[in-house]
Amino acid sequence: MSSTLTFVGLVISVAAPVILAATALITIADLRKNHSRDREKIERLKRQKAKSDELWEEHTHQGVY
Amino acid sequence: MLRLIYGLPTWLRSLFKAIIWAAWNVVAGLLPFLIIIFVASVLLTKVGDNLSADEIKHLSNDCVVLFFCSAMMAEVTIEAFLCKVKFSKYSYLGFSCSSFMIMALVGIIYSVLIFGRFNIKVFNTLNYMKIFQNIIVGFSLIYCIFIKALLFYEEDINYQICQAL
Repeated sequence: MSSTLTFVGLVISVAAPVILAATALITIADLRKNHSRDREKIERLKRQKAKSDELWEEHTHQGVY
Repeated sequence: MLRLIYGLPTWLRSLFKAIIWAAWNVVAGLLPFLIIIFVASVLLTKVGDNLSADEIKHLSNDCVVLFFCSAMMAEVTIEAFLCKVKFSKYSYLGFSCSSFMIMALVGIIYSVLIFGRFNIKVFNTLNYMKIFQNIIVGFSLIYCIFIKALLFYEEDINYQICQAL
């Protein structure tokens, strides 16, 4: 009983930091991937907005709107 | 101070904010210790010193610090689960596993303290227990600061994205 509890305590003390380190690596990699995807999405949105602004200007000059 | 913080790069600023958060939580959570120390320093008597030392020993023996650490970890874990930042399933698994493991360790130490007959058998001397306690305190601080820094970082990045648009 006593040796089992000591063993469990030692295993937890070693395993918890290892799990946290692995989780940290996975999480940081995942968030970096998400950020690059977000940046691409923002660039696409900016391009779309510029294009629609251009069309708006063009049509306003032609008297469509 | 604020100007200094906002001049830093985003990741460093998030880390700094997380450290401030953790420090403030530690101050608020361990207020009984601070009150005892303050009262003892005001009284300036031998009896006051003895009483404060006894009370601090009593609080330490009751695992107040360890339960405070587990409460802080549980709070941060729930915040990571409920916040708008979407982590991967492995991240959630890792967060919950590591926090539950530490809670199990706190449970083991507390049961050892309550059922005193295990004290000598399980950990042989109190030094082993102190090692476990130090592991829990250090680990919980690192865990909380890491997750809070991630959340602050994401918040800052999202704010920057909104500003860019």
